[in-house]
Amino acid sequence: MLIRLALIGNGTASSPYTVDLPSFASLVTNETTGRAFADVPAVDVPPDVQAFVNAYPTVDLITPLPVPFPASLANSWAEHLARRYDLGTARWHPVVF
Amino acid sequence: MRVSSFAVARPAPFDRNASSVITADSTIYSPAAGTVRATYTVATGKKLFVEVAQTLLKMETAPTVAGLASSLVRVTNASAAFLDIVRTDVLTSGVLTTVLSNVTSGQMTIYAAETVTLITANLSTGGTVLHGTAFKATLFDA
Repeated sequence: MLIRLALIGNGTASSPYTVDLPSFASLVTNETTGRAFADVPAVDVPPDVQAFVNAYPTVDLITPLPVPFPASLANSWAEHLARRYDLGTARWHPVVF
Repeated sequence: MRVSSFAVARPAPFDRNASSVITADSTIYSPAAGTVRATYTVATGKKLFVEVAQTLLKMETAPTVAGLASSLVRVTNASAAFLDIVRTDVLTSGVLTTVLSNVTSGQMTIYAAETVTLITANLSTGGTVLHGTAFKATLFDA
């Protein structure tokens, strides 16, 4: 599913612009606003995060969300990814932005 | 004749709940610092054979100031050590009608928590570049 996420990295060879997810495709970025569209496997997105994304559709990489992404959902997503990729600790902390 | 389970050989990787993974990006981009266009991380209990990875570059419109343009496929482990398994670079202020391409040789095995990443960069001012990055792999039970 397509999700608008916070961009991380600084565009250098050792820290390229990206989103904080283990698997995605088709990244489109706006370094100025710090936002990016990414195509994320649905199996990597817990239902509560999917519901939030569907409730607040985004059409560009500029307009801020009407409400900030709740910390509880961010924690839920990080734990979901840690379980699925089983690293023991939450390595990825994606944020809908 | 009765054959015990101990005599049964373990199935080959491609018979262990295997699935095909193809991740690709081919887009004309304006200049941008290093940007990850796609990633694929191997989940727990799985391994991934990268059968082929490919990169290409084509200068579509000339830059006003030339900078290095790159397309690359990178493998990163959980400790953030990385290796660029295939890469194409060009540095020119002209338009190249030739597509510069590169392809991997050999077959890499990617383990759980390791990531295959597609990256593009174009440090020019002005102009556009067609960047192609892709890999085909088989995912199977470890």
